[in-house]
Amino acid sequence: MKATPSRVLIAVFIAMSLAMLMVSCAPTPKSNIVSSGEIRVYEVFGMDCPGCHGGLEKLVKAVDGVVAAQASWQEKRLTVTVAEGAELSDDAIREAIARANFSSGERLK
Amino acid sequence: MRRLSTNLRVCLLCLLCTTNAGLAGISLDTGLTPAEGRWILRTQMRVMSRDAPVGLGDRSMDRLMVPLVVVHATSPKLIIGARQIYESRTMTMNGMETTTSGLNDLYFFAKYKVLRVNTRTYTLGIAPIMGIEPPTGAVDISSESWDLYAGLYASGRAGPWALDFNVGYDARGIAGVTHDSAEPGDELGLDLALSRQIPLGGSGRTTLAPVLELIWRDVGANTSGGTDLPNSGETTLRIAPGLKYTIDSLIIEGLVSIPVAHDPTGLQLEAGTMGLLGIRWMF
Repeated sequence: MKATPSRVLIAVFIAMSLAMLMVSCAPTPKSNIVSSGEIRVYEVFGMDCPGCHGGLEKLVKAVDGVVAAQASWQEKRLTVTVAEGAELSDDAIREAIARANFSSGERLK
Repeated sequence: MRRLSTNLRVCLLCLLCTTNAGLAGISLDTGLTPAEGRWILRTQMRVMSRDAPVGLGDRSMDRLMVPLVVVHATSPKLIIGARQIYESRTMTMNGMETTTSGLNDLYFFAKYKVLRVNTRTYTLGIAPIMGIEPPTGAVDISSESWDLYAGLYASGRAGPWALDFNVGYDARGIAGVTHDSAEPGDELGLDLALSRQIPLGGSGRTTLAPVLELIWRDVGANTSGGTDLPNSGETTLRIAPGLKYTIDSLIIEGLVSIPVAHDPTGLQLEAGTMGLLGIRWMF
């Protein structure tokens, strides 16, 4: 079979798509499995699809004192697990939410 | 033979004139800038075919494009990105087939968030974009000129509904000219996309969104010495139904772009249907 440019293009596209699919669907550590620590729940507005979670959780988890973070676009909520004994202000969490281009509402828990 | 060669070059010129017009579709989320530190990797496969109007000879053009786009949110307000398209074009004229393939021009862009309103019931985002496309592409694929792009993207969300609007102006040939000493015509584009998101299963990890896009392009005629060149420039209106499937940070999208109105200025090939299949990964 002759390797025409079109066939090469299709092969490149399929290979890249498969690579993205495999990396994206690879098992990731559950961010909400934490046996101890304070649990806080915040309202978050602006999330509208499953793809919104990753960026927000990544920024919140980078805050000092945060052990885990899990967002739900359907419930418009962010659940944060704080390390035992850590001093963590709500402002630090709200700042991380703002850096994700979302808006924080009330702290529900 | 010389006449055939000239005709092929006219075809190529017309094709270059519509280079960016072929890149429309799946314009969702454009006004909503991503979270700081977020990377987005996106690739698509676009297939387009154009034929000569009935009675105007045996001419056709098949085009396959695989764009790769990389985007990074350097701050909550600013995202930067680059796009590279690998392209293959096959032109047929009176039974003679010519295929050209290679990398198209690199495109660099920056988008800036000017407005983002998030409320309990709706989300609104507006972000202007600027881009530049130096002539880095392969011979007969590149536009052979420096092009500047400026646009304004707006996105609104209310419940499961999403509305996106893009307006963009592509100032082409700000420096450099084609091998025919022609200055490529500018392009004005409007895109309107409506979609409705349907959650699949109870976990919220997957959604399916039917999409309907309206795509309008007005491409100016190429000029040489201040005179419009014949058989270049066109106005096209397309309707594009499609589907977007999201699973976590991965989006698989596809649409069919159908021309509903085409106003060429000369003997250009008719606007054809375009098929698109794409994948987007955010990390």
